[in-house]
Amino acid sequence: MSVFLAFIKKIYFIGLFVLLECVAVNCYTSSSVYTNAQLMKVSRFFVGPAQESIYNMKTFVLLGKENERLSAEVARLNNFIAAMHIDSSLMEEGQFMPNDSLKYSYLSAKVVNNSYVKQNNYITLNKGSEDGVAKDMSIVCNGAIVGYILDCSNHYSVGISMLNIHFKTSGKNLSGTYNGSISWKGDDIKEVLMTEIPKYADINIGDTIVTTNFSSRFPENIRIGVIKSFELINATYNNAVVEIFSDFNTLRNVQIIKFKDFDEKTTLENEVEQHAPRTQ
Amino acid sequence: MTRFFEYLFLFAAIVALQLLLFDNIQVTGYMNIVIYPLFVVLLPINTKGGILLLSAAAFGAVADVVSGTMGLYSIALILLAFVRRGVLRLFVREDFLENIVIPNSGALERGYFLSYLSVMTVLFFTAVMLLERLTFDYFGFTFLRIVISSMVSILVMYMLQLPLSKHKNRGYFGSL
Repeated sequence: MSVFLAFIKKIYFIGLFVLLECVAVNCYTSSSVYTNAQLMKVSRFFVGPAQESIYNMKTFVLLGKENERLSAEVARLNNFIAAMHIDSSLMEEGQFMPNDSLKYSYLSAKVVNNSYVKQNNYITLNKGSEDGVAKDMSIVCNGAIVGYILDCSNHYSVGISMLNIHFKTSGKNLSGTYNGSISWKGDDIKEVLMTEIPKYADINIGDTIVTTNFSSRFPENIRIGVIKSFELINATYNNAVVEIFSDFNTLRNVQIIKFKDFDEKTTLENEVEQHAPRTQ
Repeated sequence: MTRFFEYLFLFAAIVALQLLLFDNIQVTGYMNIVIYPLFVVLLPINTKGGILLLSAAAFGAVADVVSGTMGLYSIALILLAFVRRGVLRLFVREDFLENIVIPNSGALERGYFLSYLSVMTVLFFTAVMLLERLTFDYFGFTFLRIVISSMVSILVMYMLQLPLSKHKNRGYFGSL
């Protein structure tokens, strides 16, 4: 018995190290952007107001630029409303505002925290479930995509940023003649990659890339960026570098978009996936 | 018991500084200032192995919750706790270590402490940044991130521990 105890005493440090590392590795490998956002939601409950104050101070110096951007956005929206013949008096500040097709509605929110120099970047917004925000709603700024909501508490929500190596969506050129998969490489905060563009696609530098209707999160034709360069990979498909429209350095006011048929669409897709005949 | 509360304070101070100050310093993707290794670096020399690992695991768990990294910082900090004694022995003789309570720049010579802090920090960033990508596809970029982030974080952590290094062989607030 004493030999056994001596043995345990001898190896307990290594044993405890292996055990703790196994637990930590298991947590890490089983995590996803959703579980990470849930963790952040807990901390935002405590530090959200402090972070909001810090972010307010940081962006105070950028107010001039922000005012210019907001004025341009107001002008753009006024033109849009005029063109669509919508009565703007029906729209109320701080509530989801319906657009013309009534498929999507918009809610403005302020960025409370926004990381953009890590590999896994997240955005915290000052609107939560009490404001009608829910998981998978998209976040846009100036009509360009920023990310989508992962989780929310009563007053705050955490979203995955487009500058997160786990972020993925699909994109196409304006005329819809080619499409590809959009992801972030992890280095430049002004560029994303558009991969798997068909070999024979007519790609031109300067092409505007927008979202497709494949995604339930993003409405179609939300701006992503412009093609900066592209190359043919293994003579099979093209990869392009896309310069994004969103400026994550100065991100302050954003809009959250709610897709009204999201639940119906995802439920139907999940059901079909579950009941689809499987090949052996 | 006083030592416990001192480290509890250090624990909270490092997390608060990271979350409210250093996470908001965003200059480039190559530079991430992370001061979490400082907690493991400054734990008393005579801390029992098990306590050392459990302290690092607890601190890592809190760091993961506030940073939304689910296990990433825990893995790196537990690794630091495991190799800490070995790293210290690389620079300081065993008999000299017996006379030290807290391994800060006041108790160790400045050069030795900087070497110890540097090895621990580089190990921490190597673990974190390789695990973050889980691929060697962008190794050049990841390598530069490790080097630049380590250099800046070492400088910041060295500055932060300076006020705490006045009491060479005593606790941070003068307690033994």
